[in-house]
Amino acid sequence: MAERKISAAQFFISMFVSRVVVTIALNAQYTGGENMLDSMVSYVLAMALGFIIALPVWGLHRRRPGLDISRAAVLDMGFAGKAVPLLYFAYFVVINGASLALFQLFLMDTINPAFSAALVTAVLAGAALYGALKGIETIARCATCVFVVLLLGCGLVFGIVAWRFSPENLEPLFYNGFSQTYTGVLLFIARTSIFADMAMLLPMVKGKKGLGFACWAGGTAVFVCLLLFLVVGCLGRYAYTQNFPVYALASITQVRSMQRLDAVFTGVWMMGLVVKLAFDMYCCRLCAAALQKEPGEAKSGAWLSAALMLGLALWAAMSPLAQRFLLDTRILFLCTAAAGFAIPLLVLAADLLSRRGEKQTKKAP
Amino acid sequence: MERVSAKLEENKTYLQGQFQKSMDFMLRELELSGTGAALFALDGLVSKQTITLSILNPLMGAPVMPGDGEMKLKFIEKNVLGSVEQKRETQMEQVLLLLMSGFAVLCIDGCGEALVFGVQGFESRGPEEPQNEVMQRGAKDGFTESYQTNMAMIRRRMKTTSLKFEKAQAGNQSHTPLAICYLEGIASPQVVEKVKKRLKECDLQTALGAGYLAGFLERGGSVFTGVGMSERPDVVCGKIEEGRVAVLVEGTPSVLLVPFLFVENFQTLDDYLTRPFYGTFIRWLKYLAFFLSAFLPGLYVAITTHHPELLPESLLLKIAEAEAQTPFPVMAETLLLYFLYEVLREAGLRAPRSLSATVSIVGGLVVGDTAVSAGLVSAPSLLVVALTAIAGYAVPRLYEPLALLRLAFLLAGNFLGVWGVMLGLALLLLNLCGSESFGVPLLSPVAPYSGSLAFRDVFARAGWQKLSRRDAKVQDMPGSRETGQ
Repeated sequence: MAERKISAAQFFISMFVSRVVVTIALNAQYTGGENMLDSMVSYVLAMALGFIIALPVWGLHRRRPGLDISRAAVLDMGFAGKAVPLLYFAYFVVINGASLALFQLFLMDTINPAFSAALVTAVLAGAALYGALKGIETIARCATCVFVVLLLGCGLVFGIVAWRFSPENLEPLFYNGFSQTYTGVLLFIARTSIFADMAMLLPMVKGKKGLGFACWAGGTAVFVCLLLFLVVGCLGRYAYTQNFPVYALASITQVRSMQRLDAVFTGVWMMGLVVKLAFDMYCCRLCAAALQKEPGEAKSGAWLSAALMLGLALWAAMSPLAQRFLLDTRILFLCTAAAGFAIPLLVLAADLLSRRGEKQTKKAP
Repeated sequence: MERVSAKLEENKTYLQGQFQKSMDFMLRELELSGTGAALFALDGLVSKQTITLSILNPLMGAPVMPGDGEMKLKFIEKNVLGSVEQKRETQMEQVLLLLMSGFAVLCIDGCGEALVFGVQGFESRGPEEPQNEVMQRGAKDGFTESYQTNMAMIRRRMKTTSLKFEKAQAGNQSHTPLAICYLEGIASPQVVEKVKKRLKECDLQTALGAGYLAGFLERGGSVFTGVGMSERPDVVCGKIEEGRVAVLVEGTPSVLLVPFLFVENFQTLDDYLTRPFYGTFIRWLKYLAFFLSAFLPGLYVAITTHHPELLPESLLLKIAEAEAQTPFPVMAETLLLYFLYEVLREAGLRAPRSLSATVSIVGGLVVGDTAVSAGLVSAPSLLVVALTAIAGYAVPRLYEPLALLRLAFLLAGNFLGVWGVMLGLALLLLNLCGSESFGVPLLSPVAPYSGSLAFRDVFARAGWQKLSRRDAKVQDMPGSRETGQ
């Protein structure tokens, strides 16, 4: 695979877009209660926790700056290390399958188009696959453009909807106790794939990565807080009854001849989803490449991941049981914790041990 | 490889054999102080007057020449003929090529070399204002079909020894001469080498136009081209000054330019000849025209078919009222109008000039008036297609990709609504972001982004104080794989 690097700004902007995509699909059911303002605190706490979760990934990157986690695992752990790319492959399929399933459900339940919603989802996955096959530079550049579209789109919606803001709709924080805050933290971490993305892609990123991560955490926190504040302030209790409150917010916006800005919302979601999926399909390519004996492009990894993500999303859209598993916060949290913290910690430990072993072997006469 | 023979008869037989059944082949036999000689040329390519005045008359009136054929040739070269373009050739293949390029060839018995003279005299068009790149304030001359004239037009504008014209050739049959033009010290040596390599590798039998070679210079399957074309010497000079490499092709007034970025499709010389604020305004107008031209039909079909709620009520009612009176669905109507427009455009372009006005009038009347009043198509659909067409002409360099993109977005909008158009946009963006022209990202300096460059000549047209600083070489664009010198 051609070794090309992207800048830290490009990488974290892409991650910002991915985060926004996940955030605009939030609802009261997932956040665990009716007081959505508590989720603002949840998100800030989740980001603070994110710095701790990311430590093993950073540690591993410092020790092996040129290798992604899957290659580092294969190098340090031998045959057993091949489980790591497999696990990461599975993680990316599941987490993106969940994102795609949410979008599919949104199309089916909220929009209910005259044409096949599955076809839209399939084309979306196809577009992401095209990006993954083109490479990381292509996706990162595209993400920058989508980021601008996203800022303009959100700016438009936020700017127009701000007129509807009513302070009476705001409820005090922790009105129903702290359980919702706790659920929110779990949810936000569960739906964050940046830790796994960093484990796979940091070797391809140049520039100030630490600063980038801090800006990402701060930037997404500001965005999420602003979004939740507007949703609650403009929709009031109506927000809690909606499956997709951000969509509801966009669809009620109207200024003179401009009305129903839900198309903007859907467009932003779709374009962001393409970026998110493309990045993670590219990661799947890297996982497949780590499993190959000879270094190569491993495009089949992207094809396979795209097919699996799409299959999973369509299955989840049809089966309530699959939905329950795929969109369950606790399951997703466990997956994210494993991919973002536990596995990097394990590989880091293996790396420490194997290097110590190497040093001892060198010292031995 | 055949060499020029010392025996005149052998040379005559060889050349006559090569040009057998070619009535334009001319042979004039002479006797120079008792030694046989022959002058060869191809009728129509040479100026008979120049041959008579500059070659035959001096030869006939020359004093007695001493020695054998070899010495006579040397004597003629030094003392008799005063042609500016004159050289010796030993290889027959080269002699043939020069003959077919409008040179006259003199062979003398007893001499194993031929003397060739540049006496080209074919008719050529003078520099005229290019019809495809009309400017309001720019120079009124354009390239011609002669690449030598074109070289002179560039040299006249750039009087620097750094300006280089390297010779190349394309076409195994046509042997079309090319000139690779660049500014030494400004253009990336890697790009120059790559251009030479790709031109050398191109496996063409004939190269009848610059477009033949453009395909060989490009790599990858991008929707938008990475090879630019211009018929204006001032534009080419401007591009060369930014580190680009130009390829001049004999027989065509279009000059190829590489690397060529996407934003260059929106740049015209007029932008730089007006005040910066107006240049910036025009630039944004062209961006808007591009988006209108690419997306308007698709969005119109998507919104009217699948998302009418997006339209303001009054507008929706007007469209609904117009559509209710036509027999076709919006998609079929728009598609029909679009094809009709493309047919009219093509007919207007290809029809004899005397007929093209008739085609336009009939087409405009039939489509614009009769079809609407007969209730076959609605006025809003017609307006959308017309707007799209006009917007497309604001960025003429992008007409070809836009014609196909429009169709693709139209179909996407019909089958998948606004989301289809959005997904198409995402795909287009990925394609653009993943494309390069000679190692320079096509979308540079927007993605990868460089604020100073983007606000220099993309989002805004900076003043000449800023533009004149030589800090915007094309190979120094962000994300470029080619490094400057």
